[in-house]
Parts: sequence; C-alpha cells; structure tokens
Amino acid sequence: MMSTRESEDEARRLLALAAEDVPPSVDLVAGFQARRERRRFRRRHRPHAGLLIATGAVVAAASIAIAVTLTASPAPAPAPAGLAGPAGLTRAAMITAARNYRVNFLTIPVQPESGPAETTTGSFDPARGAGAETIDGVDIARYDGRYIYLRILPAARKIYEQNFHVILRPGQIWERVTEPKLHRSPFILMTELQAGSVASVQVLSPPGLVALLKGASHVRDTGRVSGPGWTGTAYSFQLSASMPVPSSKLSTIVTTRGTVDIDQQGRIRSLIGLTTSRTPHAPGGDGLTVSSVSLTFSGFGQPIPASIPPASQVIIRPRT
Amino acid sequence: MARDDDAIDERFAAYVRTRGQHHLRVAVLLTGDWHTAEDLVQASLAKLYRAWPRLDTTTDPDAYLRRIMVNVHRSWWRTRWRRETPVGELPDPPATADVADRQAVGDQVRRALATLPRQQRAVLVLRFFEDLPEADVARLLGCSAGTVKTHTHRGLRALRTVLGPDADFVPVRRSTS
Repeated sequence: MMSTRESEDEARRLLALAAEDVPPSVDLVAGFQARRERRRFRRRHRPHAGLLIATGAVVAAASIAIAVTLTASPAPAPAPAGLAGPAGLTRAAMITAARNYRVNFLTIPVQPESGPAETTTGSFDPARGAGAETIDGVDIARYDGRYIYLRILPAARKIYEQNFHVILRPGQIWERVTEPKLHRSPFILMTELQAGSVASVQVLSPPGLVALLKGASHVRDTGRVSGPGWTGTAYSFQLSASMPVPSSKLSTIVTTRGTVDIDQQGRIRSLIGLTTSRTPHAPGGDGLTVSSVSLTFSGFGQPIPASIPPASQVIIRPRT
Repeated sequence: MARDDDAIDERFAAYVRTRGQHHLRVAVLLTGDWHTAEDLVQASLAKLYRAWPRLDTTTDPDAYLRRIMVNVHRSWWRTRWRRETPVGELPDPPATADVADRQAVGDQVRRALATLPRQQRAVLVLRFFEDLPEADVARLLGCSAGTVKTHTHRGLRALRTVLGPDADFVPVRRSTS
C-alpha cells in the first residue's frame, strides 16, 4: 500500500513520462508565425458591413471576369489595389518546405491538342537536399543535396546529342547538373507548373515551391476546408509573370489563378488552379494554352528514400 | 511602429522557443494527444500574443499562458468542440526497446488521464506536473483549496485504478529510480 507521498511522487513520475515524447514535427514558433500572418492578413482586409452584403455579387463578377480573361482578354486583368497578401502563402510554402514531404502533381491540358494529362510525384528531404521525381511512374530526377540528376528520356537522346554536341554512351541516361542553374525566374517556374513533363522538375522542390508562391498576389481567405485527417483554410491566389519574346516587342504572359489549402499546422495541403499562357498580338494567334494544375502534399516528416544514379549512367557536360 | 512590432515579435518568438515545449507537455496531459495539445498551445499562444504588449515586467508570462490554456481547454471541453486534426502522418522515430517501453507507458498514462473528469485531470497536471501549490491551483481553476484536495485524492486513486497494478508500472519505477 502506497503512502500519500509515494502516490504523489509516482504521479509526478508518470506525468513526466507521459509528456516526454514530444513529436519532432511540432514547431510552435513556425505554427504561431503562420497563425499570426493569417491574423494580420484578416485584420488588414477586414471588410465593412456594406461590403459584406456585396460579397456575393463581387464573387460572381470575379468568376465571370476570370472566365472572360481565360477565353478572350488579351492580357490578365490588372491587380486591384490593396488585395495583395502573399506573406501568408510564402510562409506556408516555407513551413511546407521545411520538412520532408511528398507531392503529387497532376496537370491536365484543357485543349486536347496540347497533349495528355501527366502525373508527377516528388519526394523531398530539405535537410539533406535529397529527393526524387517521377512522371507517370518514370524516374525523371533525383537530388542529392549538391546536384540534380535529370533523366535523358529515350525519345530525347538524339535531340540532346544534337543540341549539346555530345555523344551519349549506351546506358548514359542521366545528366548531372548543379542546382543553382535551375533556379530561375517566376516566369520559368510558372511555365514549369503549366507544362508538367520534364520541365516540372524544380517547381515542386522546396526552394522552387517557395520561389513560386513568393510571387502570389490577390490572396484571400475563402473559408474553411478539410481533407482526410486535417482541417484548414482555403485561400484564393493569383500568380502572373511575363517574358519578352526575343527579337520582338511581344511578351508571353503566364497566369495562374487558383486556391491553396493550408492546414492548421500552416502547411500547404493542396494547390489547385488554372494556368494560362499566351502571347498577345502574336502573328497567327496568341498561342493560348490552358492547363488545370493540381498539387497535393502529404507524407510530412516521413523518410525519403533517395539514391543517386551510378556513375556509369551519368553524363556531366563540360561547361561551355 | 513596424520596428516596435518586430521587436515584440522577436521577444515573443524567443519566449515560445524557450518555454513552448514545456507548455506543450502540460497541454498533452490536459488533452490526451499531441495534435490536440499543439492546437491548444497554439490557440493559447495566439491569445497571449494579443496581450503580450500589455504585459508588464511583473507579469509572469508562464502563469498568464497557463491560465489561458486552462480556460481554453475548459471552453473546448464545455462546448465539446473538437476539430479534426491531422493524424497518422508522422513516422515513428526509430526506438530502442527502452524508449519504446517508455513511450508505451507514456501513451498509457495519457489515455488513463483522459478517462478522468476534466477537473480532476487538470488538478493532477497542475499539482504534479507543474508543481503548483494547492492555493495556486485553486485560483487557476476557480475553486476552493478544499476542492483541489478532494480532486487530488480522487484523481490519484482513479489514476491508480485505471492504470492498475500491472507490469507497466515496473519499467517506470526502474528507469527513474
């Protein structure tokens, strides 16, 4: 029979034990910062009562505007003043990219002639800089923290040899490139987002994701959202970038409008949007392409198997 | 003004870094699982943050946050409000047999605590994890010291009954003695 003192000491030991296995995923500072950003955003954009009444009409008008822009307008609509709030989104991208994650990326061209739908999957370990990507199940890129290994697909070998003036040995199916070379402008990242295929490499990786969402504007809280095992908040957003067409006065404009779901831990769970690319006033048409893109994030904190290809399979192009 | 805000934020972040884990541990004992505990601490930190610029040097932020957590937890319990929380995504860290034993016992204790009435559980946590005197616990929970005594006595008895005199107690004693 225990004395009162013994019982109390036992309770102390048990409670200490019950509180010692703090999960490594808990990051109170990051979680708090994400909440704070959201609160600040809401405070900045708290609507007037009168505006609340008009919200339905505004949303309806915005939907129409988006549809018109995608089909007829020569350029994306200018950003309305005072609605930019990308900090929360950037923060979410940073929280998401801070630990291991898996991402599933589905891109579906709206015009059938633009090609088939493709699914890219990525898994990343930001601490080691390791990761891998596959497209429709085919190994397409591997990361080892220092280099990226890009797959030279069988159909692209000839083009590769012609473009880079090299002869590939049989079995050489990977090109080793240094990572910084692939970190490019928002335009390139957005084009990668739209294109899927081999070009999607990088946009899904931690730095690519953060760089992409840094450029978001028109970020608005659109309400609560949930998925299997999580709840959170949905935000609408817009990304837009342009690039001059060489030797002309034209520019290609790429725009993504969509929704990002952020869970209560401040991590991105999904990003769904429509990406359009066009070159207004281009002779022969503006080359409009529209793709629906969908990214789903999961496996937070789970180990990422990553291996680099054997040296015999890798080509390192000499610097030109 | 922005610079003032930044300084406040930095001090607050420093506080969360140094004391957050401790309050998370208190929260898991109150709530029974880590996800809910994280929610509870985050919700409480948000409230503390709003009050942070008003806290003077004589206010102990730990005591303030503890009060907020107890109140938030009480309000959750009263409204039976529970959000769906992320589950099953984190890998189990590689554990040695001893660590695994301790985790299993820890989990068992959390589940046992969760079976106790909310007030009893709060009293046990505040008395024996936070090591607060009975008078402080009474003030925090808005009851008398006598009620705290009663809850303590009944809570300990209930905990012992739920956990039982089985072998799970043995590794705890062995590892901490």
